[in-house]
Amino acid sequence: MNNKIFVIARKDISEAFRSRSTYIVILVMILLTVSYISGYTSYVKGLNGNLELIRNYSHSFLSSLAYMLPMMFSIFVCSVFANYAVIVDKAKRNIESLMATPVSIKEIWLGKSLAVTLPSLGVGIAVAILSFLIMNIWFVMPKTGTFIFPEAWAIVSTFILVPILVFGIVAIVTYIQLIVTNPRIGNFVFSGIFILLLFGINALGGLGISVNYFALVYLGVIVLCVVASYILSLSLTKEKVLLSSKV
Amino acid sequence: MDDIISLEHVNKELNGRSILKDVTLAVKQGDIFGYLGPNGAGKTTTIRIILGLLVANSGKVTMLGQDVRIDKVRKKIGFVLEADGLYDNLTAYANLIYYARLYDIPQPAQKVDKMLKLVGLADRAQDKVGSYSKGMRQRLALARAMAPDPEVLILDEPTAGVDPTGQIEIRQLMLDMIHKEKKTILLSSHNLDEVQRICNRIALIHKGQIRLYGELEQFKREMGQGGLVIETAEIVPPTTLDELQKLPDVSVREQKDGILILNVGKNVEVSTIINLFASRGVKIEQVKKQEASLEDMYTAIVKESEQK
Repeated sequence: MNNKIFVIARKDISEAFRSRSTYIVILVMILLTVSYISGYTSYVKGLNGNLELIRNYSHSFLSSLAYMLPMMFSIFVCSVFANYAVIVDKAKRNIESLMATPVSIKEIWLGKSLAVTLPSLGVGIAVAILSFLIMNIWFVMPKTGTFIFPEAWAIVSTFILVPILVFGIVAIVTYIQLIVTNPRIGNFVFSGIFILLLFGINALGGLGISVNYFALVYLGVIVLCVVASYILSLSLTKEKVLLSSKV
Repeated sequence: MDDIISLEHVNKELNGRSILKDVTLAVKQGDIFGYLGPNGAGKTTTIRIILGLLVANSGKVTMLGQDVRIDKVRKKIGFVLEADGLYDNLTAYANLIYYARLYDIPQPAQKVDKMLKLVGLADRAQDKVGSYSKGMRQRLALARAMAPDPEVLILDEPTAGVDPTGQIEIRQLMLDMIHKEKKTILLSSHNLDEVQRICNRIALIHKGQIRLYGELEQFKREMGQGGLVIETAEIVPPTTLDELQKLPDVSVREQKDGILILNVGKNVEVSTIINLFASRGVKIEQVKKQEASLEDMYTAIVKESEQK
């Protein structure tokens, strides 16, 4: 793949990791995990020690975690990395100099999308796996006596579908950020998806739909993202980006 | 191929407003080309079109014979834009390395070290650019522009907002590039003195149209000797002034107390004027020639086009 895409991505990532706000968001994610865990323990208390019910509940709870957390956390951190990759670059007009180099606008778009996707996935998946392990070892195992492994589809989803899906979503949001006058609008998109995921699992559970269907949902959204990205790429120009920046 | 940058009948509209109107100009190999004009005249739009950031609505724009919309063409262009494009959170070294990689410069680390030395920032290489003064930032931006060893440098107001000492340093750097590196330069500037000192060819744009274009020296010659400042012991009588004005290519520009400033054509002999004064009993204390400056030309052209 093109080297310049990675040059752009690497610079943006290193800039983001120099910022305190990145670490604050990671801390917020850990706090979110704690709130998840407290939800589990309070529900289990209500089961009055019924081992069978606790096992069933723990299994479905951890399965949903395996599907949801990597995606949710990754999307959650995206807004922080997008801040450095696009928002600051446009506000300070550094994007103008970047576009004046021998780099194409599509390389810039892909580089910036990767700069948001790669660290978000790294942080999101790492915190999700850590949360899954902590839940299992400290909370589930003492009550059920067994370590609950995630389903094969959840693993496939975490390591294959979620990365592709996050990249697809980020690419579309980055495109929007590149061509609108207020690129902070992208943060609302990320927050919207995060809230949708947060409540989506409960809604699906309420409808009796298995979390296993999430893999299918992810696949469907990936296809939509690929088609949308291709169509959008046809109309992306340096002029659009420049004129939407603070000139 | 003599033309490094060429614009032919370029028109550009933005938000329904015509920004460039039939702009035609060429920057030739080895030129230090001054691009002048007041704010909003169309200088930055022209530069953005040359850099492929904006696309002309009509006309032809080429760089080294190739369409400027081809991304690879910019491998041969170094630039300093109004916004310097430097990243505050990164060190000077990291900033240059980043751009060096985007240009695929071989052995980027060595090149960056060399450039930092060239602009006198080697000892501040590991400092974050956010801590730099405006002058230092512009020097660093010049180092970035020079790093890919470009055939042409496009500099948009490189001394704007820089203190006088910084301006001198940057101007010296530009002169070094001109003399040592033999670069072709397109310099957009408000600073007429700077352009007059450095450039050999100029274009003046006003309200999107080129009003003046060609050799700077030729314009100076066409403008004549400029002015003649005559200090007299007393105020020159109106009758003598009338006689002066009757001389070919002589007109009174200003008279205040004992100082008279005349506009004189290139063929006017100063002795004719002195003799006229002597014959009318007007005692001259001092006569000074005033060179026709770029500022005079600029002011006259801008005023003229304002009146149209």
